[in-house]
Amino acid sequence: MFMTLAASDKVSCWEIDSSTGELEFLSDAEIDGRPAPLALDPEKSILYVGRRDIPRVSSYRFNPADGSLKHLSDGPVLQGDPCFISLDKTHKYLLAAYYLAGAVSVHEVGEGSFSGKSDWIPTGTGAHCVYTDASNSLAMLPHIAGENGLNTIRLFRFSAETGELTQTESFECSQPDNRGPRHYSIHPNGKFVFFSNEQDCSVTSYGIDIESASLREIQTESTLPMHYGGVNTCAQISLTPDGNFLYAPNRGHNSVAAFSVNGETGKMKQVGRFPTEAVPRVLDIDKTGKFLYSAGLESGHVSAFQIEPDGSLELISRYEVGKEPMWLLIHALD
Amino acid sequence: MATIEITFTLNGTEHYIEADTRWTLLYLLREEFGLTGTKRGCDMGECGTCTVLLDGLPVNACQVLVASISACRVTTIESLSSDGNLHPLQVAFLENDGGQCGFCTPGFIMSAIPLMEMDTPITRDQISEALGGNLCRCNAYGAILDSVNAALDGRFHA
Repeated sequence: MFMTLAASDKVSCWEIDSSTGELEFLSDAEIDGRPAPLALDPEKSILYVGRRDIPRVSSYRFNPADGSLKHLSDGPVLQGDPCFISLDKTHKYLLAAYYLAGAVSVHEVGEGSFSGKSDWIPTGTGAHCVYTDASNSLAMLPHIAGENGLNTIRLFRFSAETGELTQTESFECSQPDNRGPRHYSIHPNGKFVFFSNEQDCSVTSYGIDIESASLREIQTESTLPMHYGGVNTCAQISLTPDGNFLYAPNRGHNSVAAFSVNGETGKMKQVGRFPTEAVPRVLDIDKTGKFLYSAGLESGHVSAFQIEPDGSLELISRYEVGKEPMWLLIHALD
Repeated sequence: MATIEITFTLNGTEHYIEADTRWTLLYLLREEFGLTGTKRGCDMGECGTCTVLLDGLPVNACQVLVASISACRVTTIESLSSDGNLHPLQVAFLENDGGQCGFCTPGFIMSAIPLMEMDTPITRDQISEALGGNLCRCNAYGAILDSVNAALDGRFHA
């Protein structure tokens, strides 16, 4: 598991014990400029790192044995700091979202270089996440509501041949006031997508119509207890690989909200909320769906949980990892 | 003096300590960590003014031996506010005069925290039951119930 430690200017690598879920530190690499979002090309063993203070994306070849990194290339200096990066399904293009600069970008990367096409598309303040669906033809771009964000989801067609993003006919999926969609997770059956809503502290499920590239809202559920009135915002969101459970962290309540998911209807049912690290900005689930890892921006720790058959989380252990963990990315070794 | 080595989490931070086996959690919090928001009242488990959360549930800290808190999460009144923002229960107690002398207030607030985690409407009787282990010698029970009720209504967003 790779993780970025923004305040320490490091990317570290930890090994997951596949039977117990416990972590063991392997290596770290110094990368200046507040490293934050990560994306990975498993076939070429390339890790892409978004650096928010410089701001640019850099590529590194990683050694699968110990996660050590060797610098490959630096992308162009950007007009804003990337808060989310991803690779399209061909691993030829890198997509990035910029919530302060209000844009999405596409960079041709190939073997980790940034020598090809590079598009910068202004979309509006608050753009927070972007990646393509399993068909590699649809990309969604949620915009949060805070910090003058647009509070909307915008939809794009993606061309794997040219790397172009073009607006769909039903480009805009407008949102109720102050909902603030931030991140999304697409169900493995491709029929549904689940968004975390940063300002509303909730998750919303939508049906995906691939032909018209539109979303149909199904259900919204709070991630907080009914009576909670403290400060809180949602951050990431993640489904288990089988799509049966959904998890979204609460920054403030400092918990992970868990839901079971009906893969036929896209409806969610609350499983519970499970205490985790202070300001749990990021989480990731291992590829077997047995373990969930939640990192605390404020605590500098990662909590490892076992995912029980009913979707509840059982704490395995906590690990001190360093200052301001900003991203977790699990790479499954065959 | 027999000692024991334990690791536990206090207000989100993990601590490793070597403790006298006779220490109570109340002694540890006040004398070793200087967290005096947790009050010492009867020291017999009757007044509730030393209430803290142990793995999310209220307990009388004077009745818990430190030797029994290994790997547990302890939450005290000091952790409720952050960056100058008071917890909704603290705001509600201020706005509703929920504390007179204030000595029992931390205990009442910590006993009310689990109510804020519930997903169903809560009646005044249920609030009374949840606070049944806490005593107020100023007899401010009406205002205390009003305070918790107001916080549960979501009228006091921190």
